[in-house]
Amino acid sequence: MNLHREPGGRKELWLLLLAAAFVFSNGVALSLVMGGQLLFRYLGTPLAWAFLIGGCYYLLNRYRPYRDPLLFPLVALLTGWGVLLQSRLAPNFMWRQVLWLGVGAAAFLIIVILPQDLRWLRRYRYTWLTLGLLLLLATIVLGVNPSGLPVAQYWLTLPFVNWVFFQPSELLKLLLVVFLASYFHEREKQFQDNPTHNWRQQLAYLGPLALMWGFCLILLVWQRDLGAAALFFILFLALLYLATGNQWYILSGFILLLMAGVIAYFAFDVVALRVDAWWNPWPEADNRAFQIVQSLYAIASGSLLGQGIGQGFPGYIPVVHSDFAFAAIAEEWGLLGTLGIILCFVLLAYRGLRLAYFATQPFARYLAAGIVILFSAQAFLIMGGVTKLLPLTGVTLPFVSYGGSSLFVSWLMMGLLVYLSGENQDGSYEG
Amino acid sequence: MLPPTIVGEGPGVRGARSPVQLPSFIFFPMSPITSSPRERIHRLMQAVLLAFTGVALALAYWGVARAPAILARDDNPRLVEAALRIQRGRIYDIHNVLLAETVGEGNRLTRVYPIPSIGPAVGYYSFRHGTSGIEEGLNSTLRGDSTSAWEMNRRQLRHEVQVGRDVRLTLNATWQQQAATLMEPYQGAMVLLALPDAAIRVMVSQPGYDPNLLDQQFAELTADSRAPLLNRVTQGQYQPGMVLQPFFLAAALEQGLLQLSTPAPTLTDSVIVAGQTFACTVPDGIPQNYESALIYACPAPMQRLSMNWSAAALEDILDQFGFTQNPILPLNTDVPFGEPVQNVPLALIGQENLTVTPLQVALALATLTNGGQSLRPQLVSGVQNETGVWQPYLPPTPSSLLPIISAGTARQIMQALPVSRGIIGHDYLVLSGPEGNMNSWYIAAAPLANPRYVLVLVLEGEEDSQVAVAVGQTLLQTILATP
Repeated sequence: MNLHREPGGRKELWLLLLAAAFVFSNGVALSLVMGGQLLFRYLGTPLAWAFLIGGCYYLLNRYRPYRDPLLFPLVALLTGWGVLLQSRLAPNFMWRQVLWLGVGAAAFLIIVILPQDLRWLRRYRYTWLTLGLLLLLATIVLGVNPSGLPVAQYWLTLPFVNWVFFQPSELLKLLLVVFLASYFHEREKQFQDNPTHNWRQQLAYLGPLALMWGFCLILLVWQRDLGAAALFFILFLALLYLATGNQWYILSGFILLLMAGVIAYFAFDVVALRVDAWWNPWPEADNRAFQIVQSLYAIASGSLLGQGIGQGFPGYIPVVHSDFAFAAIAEEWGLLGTLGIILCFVLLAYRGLRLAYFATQPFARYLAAGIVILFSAQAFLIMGGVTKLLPLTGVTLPFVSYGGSSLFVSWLMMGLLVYLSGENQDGSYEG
Repeated sequence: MLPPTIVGEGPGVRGARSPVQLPSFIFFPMSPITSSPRERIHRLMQAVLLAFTGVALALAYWGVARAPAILARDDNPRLVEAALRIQRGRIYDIHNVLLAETVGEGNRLTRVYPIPSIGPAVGYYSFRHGTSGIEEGLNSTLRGDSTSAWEMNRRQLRHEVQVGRDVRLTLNATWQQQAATLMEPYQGAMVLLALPDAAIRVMVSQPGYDPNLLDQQFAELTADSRAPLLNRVTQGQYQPGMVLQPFFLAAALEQGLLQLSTPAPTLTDSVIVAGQTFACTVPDGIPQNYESALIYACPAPMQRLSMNWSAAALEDILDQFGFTQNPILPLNTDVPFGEPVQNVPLALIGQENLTVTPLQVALALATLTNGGQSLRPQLVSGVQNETGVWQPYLPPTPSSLLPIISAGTARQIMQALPVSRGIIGHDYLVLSGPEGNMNSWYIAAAPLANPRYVLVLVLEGEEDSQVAVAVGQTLLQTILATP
């Protein structure tokens, strides 16, 4: 399959220039607002971003000229916006984020350019998943919090570089997508040939899958990383639906989710806190619901057009640069800005699902759909949490929030999507 | 969005039922698979769209529909941030002497009061403790708030620093400082009005406070039993005693109940209030009439008026002279009024549950000095408009001069009051409160020929009223000596 008979370079270039215009104009505005003049402190990160994006564009054109012309500009815009936001909200972490962006971009290029096919990814699914689970187990035993706090110890320090932290659950997302895509690829024929089964047959088909998924979930709940657990659940249900077409799976899945939520409410303080703060935050505005209430103030303050970059007060929201980056966007770019972010994710989902739609190989279909579901669900969970549509789950906004592991893995997943959108040398995706 | 689905593509065959099957709601339901993978991708896209539409609606709800209500909440820190950045207007005295200004940059602004003793008169502006006095009464003007929603939105959109408008008071900073110095050893209040417009030139409440040090001293100030944060001129409630005598006699003259020459056979009789005996001491040979009763503040003749006045009639008189109303000023003058008059004889000598503020007494005296016409007090002479041009300050409601008593009656009373050092004045020693505390009062008008100033002074706990006389006369002499 080749969806892009014409090289998308020129169209893509215009879109990238538009993204650059947005990032640089905001960078200049930020510098003028904060320092009264053009300062490298504020323009350095947009320049680094431009350098990385320009390099990626050059190499993509050279080695993968036939690719989706929207995917890379969308990611470039979201990443640029994120880098800009970090300059604004967390200047101390700014260069660390840029470093992760560089590593992510390199991984993106490796994924897009080097592989002849994706068999290496499909065939060794249990190896990948075992690796991910081992990492997760290591986190339970050796996990730390970069802030040094004895809570939310989701990170591992890299060997010999103890100032670099990595969150294995981020990588596990990708590995789980790969595992599920590979599993459904293998079993799809069975589903097609014999779509209805008795429960014994279903157990035989879905048992290993459910076991593996349940194991991931238990580990995550053990760690109290509820955001990742919710993501895995949604991913599992969506891909199960895509593979089987059975809507009852979705319905029963959501009933299970609801029941799990009720149990978690009474079992875990952190869940009870988040649900209470979500249901009625105002009586606890100065206490337990401080974060969500401050987020709502930020959204209200932004109104339609926003306060302008550097001119709002998003700093009142605890952990604004990570979990509440979307609220900061709402305050400084207003409803217009947040709708722009939403549009980016909708377009990303559309282009990704379009790949799945036209995929000739089941693995490519599941992989593209899985990545899209992950991005969309993650964005929805955090946007919904910030706007009080859902209880907070503490996940990052892909490409935008601060978080090296999240950025790195997001770029890896984008690499896979762009790879799938491009023409392989032998005309296939998986060889 | 996605290309149209090819109908019938993919697995869409209804399968045969298995012989061993659990009910569909127990384990994985057995519903047939009828959709193709492409249809499922379509539905996934629809789900994504639905989810993000929900987020967009939530954003519109909080960011537009509910925004005004949310942003107005007291715990919104953005209100504080906005207040911190306001370049508050300056406050001047009548001769453009600076009384208050805001200095600093960004959100590190400080309110500075160059004359610390001005405290109770001007009030304070504190980020932590709010506002009081003129700072409170003219807060909107000093903040530079605009009545135009368009203008406020324009400023907000452009992130313009809100610049307040300047205010000019009727106070005289020099006299104010002199009065504060004279009052420093005492506890009480002093107010000086300039005629004919009842402009407040001096307003001293002692003990006071330095508004520059309010944040540091707030805890001590609020804990101090002497209530230094209270402006005693406008809100200090004192039992008036014989201070009300000139006004009651004016009303009696006006109603034709008596003349000042009317004999007062009980002139030196004693009166018992709260177990204490009060009587006036008069020199030998003076006429036994109401003029003498006025000059020597004799209580017994006043009580005889209870034969003519009911409690309601007495309240009418108090109301006419403004003792039952809060003067309209751009600062807090609210005081609670006591129970209605029940014991008329006691009320006629300023006891029972009657209380007055020094400002109310000063305005009543100004009415007598002004030929019987009531006056509205003024504390603000001008404010800047939004373009920075000075304009006369318009009080909240239009003032009107109401004749309370005839000019002749007013003149009779004023002429009957004692004169000392070219000043018409009278001092009183007043029983105040159930503990038997004594307050010294001095009420005066000057200069003698054509009074331009009215002064009322009360010293709490001072049992020698001549002290009050000395303080008041010193200030008036200084003022009269000013060219």
